[in-house]
Amino acid sequence: MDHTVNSINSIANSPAFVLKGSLFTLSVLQLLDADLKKLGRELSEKIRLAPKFFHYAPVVIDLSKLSLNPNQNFDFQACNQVLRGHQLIPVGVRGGSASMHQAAQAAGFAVMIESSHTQADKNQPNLANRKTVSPVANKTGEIKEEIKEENKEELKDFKKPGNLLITSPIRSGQQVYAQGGDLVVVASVSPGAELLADGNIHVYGTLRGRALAGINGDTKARVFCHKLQADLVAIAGHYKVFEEVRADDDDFYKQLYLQDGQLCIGSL
Amino acid sequence: MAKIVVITSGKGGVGKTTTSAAVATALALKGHKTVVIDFDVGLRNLDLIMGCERRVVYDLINVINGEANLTQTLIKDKRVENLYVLPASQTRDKDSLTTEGVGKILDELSKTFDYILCDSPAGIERGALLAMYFADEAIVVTNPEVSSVRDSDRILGVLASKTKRAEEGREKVKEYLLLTRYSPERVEKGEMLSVEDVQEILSIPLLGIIPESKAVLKASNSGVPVSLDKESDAGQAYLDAVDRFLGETRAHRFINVEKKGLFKRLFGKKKAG
Repeated sequence: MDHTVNSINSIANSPAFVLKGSLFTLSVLQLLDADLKKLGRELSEKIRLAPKFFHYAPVVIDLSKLSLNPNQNFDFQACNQVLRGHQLIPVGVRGGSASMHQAAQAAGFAVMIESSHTQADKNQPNLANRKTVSPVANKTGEIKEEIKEENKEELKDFKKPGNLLITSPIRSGQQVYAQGGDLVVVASVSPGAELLADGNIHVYGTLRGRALAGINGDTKARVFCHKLQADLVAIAGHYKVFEEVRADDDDFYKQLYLQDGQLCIGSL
Repeated sequence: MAKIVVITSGKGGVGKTTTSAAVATALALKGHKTVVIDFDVGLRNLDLIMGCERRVVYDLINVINGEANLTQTLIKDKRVENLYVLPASQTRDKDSLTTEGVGKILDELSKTFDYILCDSPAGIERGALLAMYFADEAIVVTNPEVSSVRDSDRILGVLASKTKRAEEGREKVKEYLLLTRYSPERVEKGEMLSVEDVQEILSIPLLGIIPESKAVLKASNSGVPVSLDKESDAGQAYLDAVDRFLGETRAHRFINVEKKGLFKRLFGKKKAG
């Protein structure tokens, strides 16, 4: 009897970790040449011109433009050292072949899971969000439920990115993503729901749950709502958690925006 | 063609089975041929509430597995004409439920019944998903309490996406809110969510408000669906709700605090049930 009680207690004791999901903006360094010495020289030059340019930024290495000779093996270990020696913290790789991925993993890089829309944005400026989000609206703009963070099949159906209009309430557990545009909701959003947009988020109703605007790095994105009762609002990765319930009369017609890297709340 | 109605909630213990029994009985009393199916495989309760637990020979899983046919399995209610019960299995578990199996049963029942009520188990797993999959309409049972409201909201999301109608892009499942265990005194004191509070979050048409009532416990213990207890407040509220379901207009009763006159306060006992 005693030892079962103890084992129950040990489970109840504080765990060593908890796994959580999160969104981060990461820069991508696209390697064009396998010559690591050349890479080192160019990175040094950048730092010489602007000492704090990299400032230990986490970065994903894009291997898609890296063409190697058949027998050439890219030394990922050495690459890691060159980057870290120049104030860059590589967190993973993307693109390139499966054998490159294997070698990268052996050297301690993560292989970033990609959604198919990233094929289109290779020409877009840095600050690309690599933690994928699943866009859950299909062609007719209706909400399909999607709890998993990534679903490539869902993405292929999604024709043209742009503004997304939803006119029915967004229920707890639903996630909506307006890819390449604004999200407009003419209804209320329930607690436990998540709204994501590359552009702005407009809620003509009560915003509960979470709203993440400008998720691909658009710091000018804003969140507008009739009533602000959200748990969390983020713009381009900068977020604010609303721990205390706001006073009822204070949360009508609000907009949230970034100013000097801080999330501010203003009236409409 | 029968109408398939799922009685669901997400949260457990809010009154789904009580409601399934009460609504099925009320529909049958109005002359509609009704069958109520228990989808809570392994934890069956509907047969108890309907008062037919000693008459269960075969169950839903037997029919799905082809071990018995519907005629052998359906239990005809002894009190009310037009009312039948399809009980769940108590010994098997939810893995025995299959979409095709359930679909076939519903197709066969649709040929002879007007209403097919599916009593969903709590949660959002297999049993609950299958209970709602083929539904045309849904009664979402909610207590005026925060976790129940949150779970009902979740269930509404699931109804909008994981049903056959949603997958085929047909007209969506018609949703109704049934607020149960409502206590106007507690709402007035500010202890309990009001109808308006719940409506603000769920935003679906209100089918009815069933007051917290002693009659419900009495009814389930005696195996009599509460809508047969026509003297009780809960019974009457269910009958009103079914009238509304059938398209009639009824004012919501039992939602205001009863103002007791001096005579009642001095001599009146609390109304039974």
